[in-house]
Amino acid sequence: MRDWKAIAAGIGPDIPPEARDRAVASQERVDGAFRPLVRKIPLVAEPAFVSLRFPEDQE
Amino acid sequence: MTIQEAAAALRARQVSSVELTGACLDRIRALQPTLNAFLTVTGESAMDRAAAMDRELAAGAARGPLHGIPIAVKDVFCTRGVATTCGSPLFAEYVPDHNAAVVDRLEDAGAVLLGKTGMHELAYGITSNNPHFGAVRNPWAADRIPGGSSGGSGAAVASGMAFMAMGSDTGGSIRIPASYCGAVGLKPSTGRVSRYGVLPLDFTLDHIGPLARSVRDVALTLNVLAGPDPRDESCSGAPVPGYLPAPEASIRGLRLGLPEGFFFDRIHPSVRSAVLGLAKTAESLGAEVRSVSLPDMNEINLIGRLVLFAEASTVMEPYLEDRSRFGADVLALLDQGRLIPATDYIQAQRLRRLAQQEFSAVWRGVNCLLLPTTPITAPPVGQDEVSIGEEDEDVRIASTRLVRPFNVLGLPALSMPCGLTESGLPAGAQIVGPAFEEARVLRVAAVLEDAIGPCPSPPGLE
Repeated sequence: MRDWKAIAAGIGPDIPPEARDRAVASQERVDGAFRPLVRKIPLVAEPAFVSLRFPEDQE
Repeated sequence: MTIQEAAAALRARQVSSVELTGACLDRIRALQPTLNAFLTVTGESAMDRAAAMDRELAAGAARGPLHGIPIAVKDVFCTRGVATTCGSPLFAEYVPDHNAAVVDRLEDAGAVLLGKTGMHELAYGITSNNPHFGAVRNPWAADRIPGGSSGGSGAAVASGMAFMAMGSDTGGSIRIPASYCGAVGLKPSTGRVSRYGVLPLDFTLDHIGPLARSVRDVALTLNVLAGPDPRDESCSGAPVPGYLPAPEASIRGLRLGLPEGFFFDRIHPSVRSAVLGLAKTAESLGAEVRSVSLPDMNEINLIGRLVLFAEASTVMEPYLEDRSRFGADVLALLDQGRLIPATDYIQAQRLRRLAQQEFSAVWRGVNCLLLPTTPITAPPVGQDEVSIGEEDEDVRIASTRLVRPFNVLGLPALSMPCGLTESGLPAGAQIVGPAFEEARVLRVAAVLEDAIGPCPSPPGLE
């Protein structure tokens, strides 16, 4: 379980406390469902999540 | 009148583009105070353009079925010399010096731009209840939302203000307004249509597509839109077939999957019955309708929400210093997205790839899927929750949960009207196919539309 309050505090002072609390509460709900999914990912070689092709190779 | 009918009348000189455009502008003037479907109307340039298209037709230089047809585009598409606000005060003064790729393609095809349609702020929501530019309203009942985020495009098409309107779809934003307004809307496969010149909501879920009053109008528009674009690295070079279904098209022998569980579990009974009625029609036309088991859609939705949270906040982070320029609902989503660690975002994208691989097995058993677009009809403006059976659900979650999976998976998904519920509002059915099989999706939808007839016009707008 992540400490979403600590993560929210680390973002910076521009989020008012009530908005931060709302975001934390919402993200805690999402995370509760998401964490079990992450445990299911197999450890295998995967492609990168950015394009590794040179522009010259994209014709 | 559909684009096909208008194009035939233009070719036969029974009507001119100036007359069609003038009629659309009259409609806009009459309905805009009620529906608020447009943010900008380019009336003068539209009439000039229509006259030019008429001159070309008279000279025998027809460009195709969109020649002289009045259309609109959501205010997320860059239009040279015309304000492009994205429904936000952040871009209220933004006047691009270039066109989005699809705007160029539509212009090359001879379409006449009537203006820019209203939308949910920054395309980040589904109500189109815009705090800065006012709520867009549903032509079937002005106290109801048109859906979103392409709400103005849905309202404009369904009310006869435009023959076709372009939308963008990150988590259902073309198909939800199509469903709530009684229009046809297509979200193509990822990479099928260039996103160049479209103000982004996110990087990997955004799709571009048309809304119109008939399936074949959507198909002939896709003929113009689809194809590679070197300015959009994610745009595919896959071959572009002809998308327009033949008048005698058939679905005999086609295996149509009706998903078990998720898509019919929490749904208003009248929407369920309309979609199942369409399945019966498909069966009567010779399709083999079979029950199909799909991967866990709740998981795919969760992956999609996490990706969207993180990517949308990344896009908007440079603008977040002044929080007063965002509406409350959008700001709350952007705040949440900023919490997501890079590791979680990457895990979500890894899970997405696995989900795509798992889902591809579905196509070994069926050729297309038939399912509801939204579990409800258009809710009232300002209502945050809807009751489905004995459960209350957030309007945003209810509206997106049956459509978002196909943004995550990148599959072509079309929403078409499948009847009116007892409350007199349109219900939408979704046809989904394998990647880059838009032609098959459009053929199924066109055959079904031929059988059940077009959606009637909203009351008072016949």
